[in-house]
Amino acid sequence: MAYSLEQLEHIYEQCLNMPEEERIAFIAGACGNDHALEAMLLNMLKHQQQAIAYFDQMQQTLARGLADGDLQRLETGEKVGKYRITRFLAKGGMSNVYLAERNDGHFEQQVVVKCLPAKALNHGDALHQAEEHQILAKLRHPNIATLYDAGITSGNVPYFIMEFIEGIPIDAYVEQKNLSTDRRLALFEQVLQAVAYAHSHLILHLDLKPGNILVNEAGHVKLLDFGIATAITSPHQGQRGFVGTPKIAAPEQLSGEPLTVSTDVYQLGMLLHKLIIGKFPETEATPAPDEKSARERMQQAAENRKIDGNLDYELAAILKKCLHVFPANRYSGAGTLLDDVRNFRQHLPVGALEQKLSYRVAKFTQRHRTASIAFLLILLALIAGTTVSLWQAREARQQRDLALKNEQVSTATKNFLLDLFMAAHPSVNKGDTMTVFQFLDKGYEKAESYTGSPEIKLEMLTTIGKLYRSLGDYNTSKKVLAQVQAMAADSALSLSLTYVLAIQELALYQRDVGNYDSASAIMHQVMHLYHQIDYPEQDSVYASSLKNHAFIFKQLEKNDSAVALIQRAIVIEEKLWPDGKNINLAESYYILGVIQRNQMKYAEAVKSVSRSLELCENLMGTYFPGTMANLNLLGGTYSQMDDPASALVYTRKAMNIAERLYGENHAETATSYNNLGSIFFKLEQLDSAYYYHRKGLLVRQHLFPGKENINVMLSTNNLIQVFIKSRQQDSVRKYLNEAFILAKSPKVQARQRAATYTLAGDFYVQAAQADSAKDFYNQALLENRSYLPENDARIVELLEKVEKLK
Amino acid sequence: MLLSSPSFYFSRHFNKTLIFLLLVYYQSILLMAVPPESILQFIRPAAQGDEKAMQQVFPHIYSELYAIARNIRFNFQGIDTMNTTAIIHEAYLKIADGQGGWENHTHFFAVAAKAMRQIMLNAARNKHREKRGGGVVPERLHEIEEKITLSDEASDKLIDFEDVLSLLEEKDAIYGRIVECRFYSGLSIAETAEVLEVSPATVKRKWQLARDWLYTNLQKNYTS
Repeated sequence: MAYSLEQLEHIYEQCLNMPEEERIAFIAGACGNDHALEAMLLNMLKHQQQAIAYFDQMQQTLARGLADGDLQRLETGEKVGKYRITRFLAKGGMSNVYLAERNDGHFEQQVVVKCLPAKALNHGDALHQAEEHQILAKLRHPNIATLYDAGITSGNVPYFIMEFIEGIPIDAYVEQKNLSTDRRLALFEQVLQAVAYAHSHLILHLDLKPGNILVNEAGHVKLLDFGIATAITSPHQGQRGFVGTPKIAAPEQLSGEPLTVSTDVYQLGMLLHKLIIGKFPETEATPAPDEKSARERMQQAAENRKIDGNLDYELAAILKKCLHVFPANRYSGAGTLLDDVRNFRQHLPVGALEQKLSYRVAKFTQRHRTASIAFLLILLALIAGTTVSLWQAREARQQRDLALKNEQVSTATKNFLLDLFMAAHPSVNKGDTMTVFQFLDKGYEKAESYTGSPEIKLEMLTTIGKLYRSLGDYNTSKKVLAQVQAMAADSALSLSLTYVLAIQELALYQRDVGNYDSASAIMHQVMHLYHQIDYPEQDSVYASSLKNHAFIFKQLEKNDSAVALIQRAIVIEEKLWPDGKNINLAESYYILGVIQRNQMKYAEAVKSVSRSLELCENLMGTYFPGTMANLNLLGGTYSQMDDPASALVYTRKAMNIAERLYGENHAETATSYNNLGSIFFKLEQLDSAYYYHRKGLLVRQHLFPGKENINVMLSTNNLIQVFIKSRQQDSVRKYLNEAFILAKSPKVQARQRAATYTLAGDFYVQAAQADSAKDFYNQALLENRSYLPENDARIVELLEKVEKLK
Repeated sequence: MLLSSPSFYFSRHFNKTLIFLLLVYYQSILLMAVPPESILQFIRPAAQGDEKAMQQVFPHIYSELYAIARNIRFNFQGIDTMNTTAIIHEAYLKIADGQGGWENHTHFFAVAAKAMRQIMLNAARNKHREKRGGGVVPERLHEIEEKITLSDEASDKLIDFEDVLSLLEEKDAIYGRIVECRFYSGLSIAETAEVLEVSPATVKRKWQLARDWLYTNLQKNYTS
């Protein structure tokens, strides 16, 4: 610098403070003889606008420079494999594309050579890449531009050599020819056939933009760049890189999650939208994204795409199923999409029309960044129970100022949240229960120390209590619920659904530990509270409570009341979900089946349970507790219908599922063991019967250390039965004694006590001690009479036994 | 006989796997990695010229930016911009995320700008060295992967840019800092003023001068 900076600064500043006309003169004056300075200043003044533009451009240059840092250019005449470059065609996002000819003069074949940056290759050894090329070369289909070869030039430039296709992009084609919707769909079918073919060879496309789909004059479709995105995606460092066109990218492509055929389906949906409507789906306006990175903004855009409203509803349904945010909810592949498109064209019903999921709810999980643990717990509650509605969540949200939209969300939506996680993690095995408890403990801590709104605290604690209970930790559940009770008793809390459900939680706890009378009393209170807060009856939460109560009645042997309630619940639920696609309905039929079985209405029970099983298997598949429960129940029912063969089949299935789902040491598995044991007993296979009953008993004793539990009693009774039959008197005595101790517990019901006494009677008959036998039979009669009508088979049977003794 | 209530079977949360997944999922969100507190506390002083503080934070921010810049090719193609500002933004979200409402973002951006400038310049110089060295030496794949590469065009332009800027910077260091803040980081006049602890009027004046002077001299470079 020939001049001084201070001078420069000084003069320039002053100059800019002057009106425009005076500036040049001022500079001349201020600089005097310093020509260099004057020249510089004048230049600066003159080029202000360009300077601004330059800086903007510079940023772009740098950005581009980073992106294609090592994209080499090939020269005309340069040899690439068997071909020779004839001319440069175009520059793609990440590639240079050239026209090339066969080099050996044997025949004229025009091909396209596509070059990529050196780093673009999948790293792996050469062998692996050769394999990939094998796969790609196998893709021969009339609608797919053939990939001939791939490799690396001596200059380390990776290239692909492909069939040269003449044609224009499909979106331009349909506009130019002004095709009808049907003709456009016909073209789309060609695309689908190509993609379906590739999928059958396990190749994904991942960049199905219109520019990659050319149509020639004759209307023949060719897809370009098949498999290239797969071949060059780098899987390093956890987050898989993104290759493709962001504008049509599926959400999972932007978030780095696994890509599948559903990703192609998504892009096909985007394409279909463009073809039919003329543009891509627009993005719903999102709140000011100042805080978000480019990636997040793009992800948000991808997840907020809206399908144009003016569309045939069936086409709209098809599009929705393609463009679903979650891959698991889209068409399973191009093939099924093709089916639906054909259906539509042939005026057949379209499969996509079941709208199970509200996509707006997807935002729930997107809010996780700002969620406090309180919210998370509530979210868990939503997912955790069929009894919790999003109604209360809304209240909580309002109170805590979360930016969630206040919308009408149904229980089905809540169920969807479940689907969401199941879909996202399909391949994880049994979890580590310790971690679950650790987290729950932490949650408990937080909930306890929460000092905000008491209603939210109540909800949190209720949820935690429920979760402990659901994981089988009744002790902690009890502790938590004691706090819930204390809070509920505090009159400062206003009456609300939260409150009602907290009370219900107490009832459910009592139910689960076997205090059915207490549970019933509390449920009664709950139903009363519903009325007090004017809660609508036509609601799944209300129906759930009816069901809970019904079940408790059943446990108390008040089967008629139970049936009445469960049927009310079914009526409500059938109305809520007329297509039957809701798991709550399955649950209701199950309960109905249970009660009917208790009433010994076996045929009806089988019918109800079968209906429930069907619903379960359709909605949730085999490894689902509901499916298992139904199978167990069917087994038990058939067993009581004296069809042990069928019973064995179903019960075995149930046991397998239980072991898979819960492991051996779980109440459910114990039930299965117990059931199996009973069936083997009926089949007179006493060894197996003993094996399973004992297994069941051990698990149950382990789970209920105080041993004061109906099911422990049951297992004990069952074992006694086996020992009696096999005439192992010592064992009989041993277990009878245990049973008598259990019988004293208030938790044991008359039914089980009667069973024990009956067994005792049988034993003493066997041991030729008629008097003791008679005593016990009479005690059994006493118990049975306390809840059964006189003409009940069990009483009749007992009376006969007593008769025989005389 | 039934053990527990039907809701046990039909409320799907009873899949322990599922609960575990949910909780782990949320757990991972809650326990998002944040840099040790100690680093964050140095950012403001570093931005304001404290050498020691700068030594603490610089490597951390540098490596974060580097990682992002290196992966650009695999992330977003042909979209708005993954320019230096965007990269710094991403790094900020990564490092500061979970802290929510962290007040030092301006200072972070200032420090990050410095790092970014260095990263880009190094990449540009590497490119030049490569070219002068004659031909590309086939490196092992993972080495290629590790480096940031800048295109020829961008390298040339950047080196010229930095050469001219350094002339200005020699005379008054604040020019370098203002260009870092405004150009590399995209900070506003007011934000730049806050970090550099000068008045906004000063920033505005100097930025304008820097911009016009740099441009003019770069043109002279090309024409002379």
